[in-house]
Amino acid sequence: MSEVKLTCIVCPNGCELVAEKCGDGSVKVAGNLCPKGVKFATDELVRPLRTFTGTAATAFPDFPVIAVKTDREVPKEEILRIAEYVNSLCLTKRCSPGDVIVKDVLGLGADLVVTADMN
Amino acid sequence: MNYGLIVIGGGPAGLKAACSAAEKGLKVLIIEREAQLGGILKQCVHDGFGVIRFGEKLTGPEYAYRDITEVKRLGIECLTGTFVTGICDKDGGFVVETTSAQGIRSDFTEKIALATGCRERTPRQVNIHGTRPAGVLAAGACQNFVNLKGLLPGKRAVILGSGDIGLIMARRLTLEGAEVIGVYEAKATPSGLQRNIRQCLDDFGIPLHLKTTVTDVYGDKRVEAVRVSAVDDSMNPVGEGEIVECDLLVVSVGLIPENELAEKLGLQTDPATKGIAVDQYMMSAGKEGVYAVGNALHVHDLVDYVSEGAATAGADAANTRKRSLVKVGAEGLMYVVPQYVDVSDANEKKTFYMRAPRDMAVASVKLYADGELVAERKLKNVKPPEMLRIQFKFRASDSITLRLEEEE
Ligand SMILES: Cc1cc2nc3c(=O)[nH]c(=O)nc-3n(C[C@H](O)[C@H](O)[C@H](O)COP(=O)(O)OP(=O)(O)OC[C@H]3O[C@@H](n4cnc5c(N)ncnc54)[C@H](O)[C@@H]3O)c2cc1C
Ligand code: SF4
Repeated sequence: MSEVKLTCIVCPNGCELVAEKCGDGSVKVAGNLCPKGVKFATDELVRPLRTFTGTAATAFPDFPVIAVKTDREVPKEEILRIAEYVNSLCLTKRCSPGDVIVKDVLGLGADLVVTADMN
Repeated sequence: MNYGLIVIGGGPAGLKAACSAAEKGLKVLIIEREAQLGGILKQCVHDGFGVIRFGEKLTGPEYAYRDITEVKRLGIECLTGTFVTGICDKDGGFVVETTSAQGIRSDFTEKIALATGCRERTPRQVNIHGTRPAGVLAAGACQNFVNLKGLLPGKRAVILGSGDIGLIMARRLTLEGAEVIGVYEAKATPSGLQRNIRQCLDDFGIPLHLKTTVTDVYGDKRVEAVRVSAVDDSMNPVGEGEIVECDLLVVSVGLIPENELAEKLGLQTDPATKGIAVDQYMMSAGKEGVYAVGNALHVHDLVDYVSEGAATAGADAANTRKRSLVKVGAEGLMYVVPQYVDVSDANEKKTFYMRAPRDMAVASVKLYADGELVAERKLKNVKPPEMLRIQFKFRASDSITLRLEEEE
């Protein structure tokens, strides 16, 4: 297998990683300053994950939109589909950070939570 | 009213400075011109904030919420929707004048923290020919439209400059259903962080064109197209270039500390940071009792260090020091903050923030006191967009110099 160059996005160090998939399916990683880099690189090669962050519309004039995110990582290829879904929402209740507004978004196993304070 | 510390600006810097001072027993007032506290973090809805300070990835609003909760817990007085119009010296302290919907007001304080954040270099400050029709926006202004007002300022965007806010907006606009045609950067290396290029551009197949710039904007009332052109090493366009149709040009070409109030106080500024010159407690070198924190002092790339510096300043506001300042020489560096060191407390660990002028694979920062090498730190993968933070402990001396050297 050939080597793949990656940049770890887990923390501000942004380590430049070199990852290689081995014959037995495991992934060999170099360049990481901590073990999180190994998990990141393995996920990148097998099934890349991202947290969705964005905004959802609300019914309140002082907050035309409010910041939201998925409470855990979701498959990268689903991000645009989540964005489209979130853009169809409109909140009618005032929320604070951590309040869940949609459970199990699109059946991906993550909840959509508000990250800004409207109260 | 009388205060021990008035903090101007309710972003992360102001909030943290206020909390640290209040914890030391000072009576603190925060003055913020916007309706809500939180500063620029309110519009930074993406995550990645707080990894160093809290050990978790937070979004901008979540990071701000933690400090706002702390401000409330400490019972710190806040005036929002209030603009500081003037500051002047009085009886060893300062009088701060403000205006708000409630009218004008004037307060006395012993010390002041300037936490007014930064301004964006505007599209007008960039050398582009043609008209300035609607649809030419600075990246931060674009972020404000999309993330706070819920407005999409265009459907087909070109991004000029590879600063982090521009990269973040490339992703945001894509998620909001706009098409981002590309990011154009005149320099040979990007100004934003590599991790943002990966997760904001590469993830969505948005191309980054280095050594390319926008030379002309076309359109009468609204942007209709721009001309992009390759540039040579002296940034001069080569060839005819190419017309790219778009209805939005987002300009992400850097930030400058907001210094209007510092100028009113006649404070000395550092031409390299464009913020005021300070000692290791972020107190103005030229004027006792005035602190500058966060982006008002120098533009930070990580909010975690904004909070760190602000905490230092806030805690110091409760002290009285008899200062003995020594200028910090900077060699091979773009800048160093603090620019001065109060050597009267020579044994304390001192934190220096600095930026390298160019990429270096291996480098070292050396600290000289009275010409003698007293400390050295090895660094790897040094890049100008990433601020360096190094702590040194050293003896009182008459001259201090920091030198960045590239190593083989
Ligand atoms: C558009 C933009 C996007 C950014 N995105 C990121 C990012 O994605 N990640 C990251 O780590 N960092 C980002 N930064 C850097 C970020 O600015 C810092 O991390 C941090 O928010 C700076 O905090 P601050 O408190 O110094 O300034 P700010 O958050 O800007 O707060 C300054 C406050 O002072 C108030 N103020 C100014 N003048 C006055 C006055 N005269 N009277 C009363 N109030 C006043 C302002 O209204 C504002 O609320 C961004 C910066 C900008 C400008
Ligand atoms: S490998 Fe560890 S230290 Fe390096 S960027 Fe990833 S999380 Fe940060």
